[in-house]
Amino acid sequence: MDNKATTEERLAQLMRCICQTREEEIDSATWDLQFERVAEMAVNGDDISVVLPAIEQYLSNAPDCAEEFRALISMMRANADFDREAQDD
Amino acid sequence: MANTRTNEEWLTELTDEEQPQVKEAAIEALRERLQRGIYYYLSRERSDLSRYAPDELIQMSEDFAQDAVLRVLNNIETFRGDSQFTTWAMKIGARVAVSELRRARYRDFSLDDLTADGEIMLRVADNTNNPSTAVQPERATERQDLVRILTKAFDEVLTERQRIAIEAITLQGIPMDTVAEQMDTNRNALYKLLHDARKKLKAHLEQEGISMDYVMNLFSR
Repeated sequence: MDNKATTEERLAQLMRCICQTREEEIDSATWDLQFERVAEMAVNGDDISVVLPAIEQYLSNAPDCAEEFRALISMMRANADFDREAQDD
Repeated sequence: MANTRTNEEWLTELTDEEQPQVKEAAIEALRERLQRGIYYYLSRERSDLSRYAPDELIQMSEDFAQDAVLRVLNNIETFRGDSQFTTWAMKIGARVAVSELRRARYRDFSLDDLTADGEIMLRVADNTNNPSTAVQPERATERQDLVRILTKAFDEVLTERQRIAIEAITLQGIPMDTVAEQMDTNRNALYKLLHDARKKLKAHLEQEGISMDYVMNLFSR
């Protein structure tokens, strides 16, 4: 959820998060170990919500990690585009 | 320069003390990749930075990239090799950029600014009657009822720290790192605190006879 979300949208997000809460979930330490690998999967075209739903759920509950994940994907795409153009030249 | 180095080459060259020019070239190549990625992120993905001129974003991205390179070099022995080295390095760059921007944005935030018990939730409940939300009146009333139950649960089943964490992070969108710092904890522990809070709230709703399908439907996008 981005910084511009209204309080009501955040409340709805909280309600959805409560509903989807499981007894056992991925924690931040597990996410740290998988961060780069998941990013590479996403950049290669995998739909994380389908392939790794537990990760998707973790990211919906950990906005800081989700924001860093989006930043990494963006950085990887910028460099992939650059590498492709360099190869074409 | 395109990424033509293997992981092993990156590691060897970045730590090559015998050939300073090789090490310097690798550091510069890494810095370029990080700066390119960070600039792209700042200029394309961060609408909150649109007030900055391109030159300012370039400067910002150079500063973040420089910081990230130092962190990569200081932690290079922790690279496990289960991704591309550049992906691992960019992860560090992403965290530097995002955390610095957060720090600047929430520099003056204090958890003391949060309102007293329940006020936030009740205010949101009142907003569900706002015509601008375009929710059917019956649906708005049901939402309001549910929010009241949840507000009560906040007071009855959550600890003070759980309530503060949920209000700050989930309802006000304050970054976890900012909240963790002020609660004298870390992100991992805070995530566990939030998980425990969500479990308690879910159990409370179920005890009240409210099904999760009903809640999901009521608050679906």
